[in-house]
Amino acid sequence: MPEEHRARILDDIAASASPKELDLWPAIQAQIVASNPASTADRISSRRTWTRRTIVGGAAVAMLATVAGVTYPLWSPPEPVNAQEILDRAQASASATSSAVATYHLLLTRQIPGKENTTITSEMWYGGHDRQRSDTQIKDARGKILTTQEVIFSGNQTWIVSTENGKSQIVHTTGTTWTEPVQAPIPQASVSDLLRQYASNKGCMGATLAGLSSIARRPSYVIALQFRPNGCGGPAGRATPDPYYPRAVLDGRPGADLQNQVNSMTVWVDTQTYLPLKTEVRNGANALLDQSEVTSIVYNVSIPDSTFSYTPPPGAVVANFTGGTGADVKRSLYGSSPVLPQK
Amino acid sequence: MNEREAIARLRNGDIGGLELLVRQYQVRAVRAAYLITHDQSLAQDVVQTAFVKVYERVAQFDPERPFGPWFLQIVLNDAIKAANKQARLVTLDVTDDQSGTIEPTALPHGGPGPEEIWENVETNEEVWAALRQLTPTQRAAVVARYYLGWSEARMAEKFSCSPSAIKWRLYAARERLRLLRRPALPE
Repeated sequence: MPEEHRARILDDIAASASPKELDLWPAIQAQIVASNPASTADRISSRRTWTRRTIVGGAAVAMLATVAGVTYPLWSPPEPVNAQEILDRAQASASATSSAVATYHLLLTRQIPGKENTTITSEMWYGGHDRQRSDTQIKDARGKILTTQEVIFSGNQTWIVSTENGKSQIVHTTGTTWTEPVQAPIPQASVSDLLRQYASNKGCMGATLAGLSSIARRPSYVIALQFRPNGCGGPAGRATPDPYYPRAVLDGRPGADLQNQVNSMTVWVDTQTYLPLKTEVRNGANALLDQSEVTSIVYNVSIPDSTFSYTPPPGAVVANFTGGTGADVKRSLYGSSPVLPQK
Repeated sequence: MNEREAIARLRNGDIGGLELLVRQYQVRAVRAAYLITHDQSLAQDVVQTAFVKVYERVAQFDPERPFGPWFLQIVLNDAIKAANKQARLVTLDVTDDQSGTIEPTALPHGGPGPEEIWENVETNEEVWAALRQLTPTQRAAVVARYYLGWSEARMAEKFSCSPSAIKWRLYAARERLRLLRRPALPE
């Protein structure tokens, strides 16, 4: 057998498992910048040539290089706030491809050490404002599934199927206003806007850009959030992580419980789509209270219509509601606290 | 910008030089790593880390020599380590340690040559199934020799072992592939 044929066999095998579009550069760039911020800043400040680049993923960092080279000939390694300003200018100045994300599919894992090491795994599909789906499993420390929940948005119809101890509750609403189970890509104008949004979300947090990293092979801004004293850093149940994880509400004990008191949060945000990819919530002793991380995400993926439809099993009892809000539905069902997403 | 210029820029501290090298080598590197690790995600992680190492160690690279073999050697070594760490394979009789420095005292004689082995291969699936039974080091030898097209002399240089050790690894890999392709004997 000729050498070329041997090589072709091996190449065929490897190619069949390879993604059609392979682009490691954004993640590599983010990793280098994250691990060598000072030296990278020195190195990239030497560039003098302006190159018009579209902003795709880690290209924002490349823009940092060109702007720095042209505008800051004596630039020294920036403080985090200076890097933020430079990134803002780079983004505002470049000819931008819209970071248009029409759809995505992701896998997410959340761990709550403070709640008996509960693990929540979610699979989410986003196909637009009225085409969303979130499938979630809640497991105990031994991996036993305690609860599953499917939330499906399809036009003005919503299906919520919750299963516990082998029993399912099926809720079907028409024209009801719910909080969307899956976060839409955020049309941020700049990192500054993103930081302002985080800071003002609760009115009690300070937000700074702490660096760049890579999550699920996506270049990510690292945003550090510090809760202001006497602000929203009360019992852990009150300060929720970003609404991207809509049922990610920590059940804290009432009263001032310092162990469960949220003191700081770190959010890793996709540099292109501004979707949060990872969050960590810590108490005043820097112990981890809650962590969520996207383990896989694919943008602009084709999602079949069947993903956003649901047919109850024959004989199933379905609670039907029309209009109102999610809170109304929950009150009708439970009279008090939520299992379902609410407005 | 060509490869030589990209390396020169990288040696001058310009990360932009690395981008060209990434775009030029990432596909081949990931495929080579995949043939060793048998895990696409792991292969991409290995190659990503290898490029970061290039950035960090570019000063050690002799720009008069071709970049490809130097870089792919990093990929192969890291893929072996990653695959060993994953511990996916059934332990074989003939194994190397992670550093691949075991050397036989004598070469075996009378074994089938590579041409005979590959002539028996009929489908990609059969090759893949057989490759899975090799150790990561043996796979790396097969990948280096038959996928990357390295000579045994170059392999000896890159794997930091003697040509006889390279011949042994290739022989062991080919022998294993040949045995695995034999139809099972009735009990």
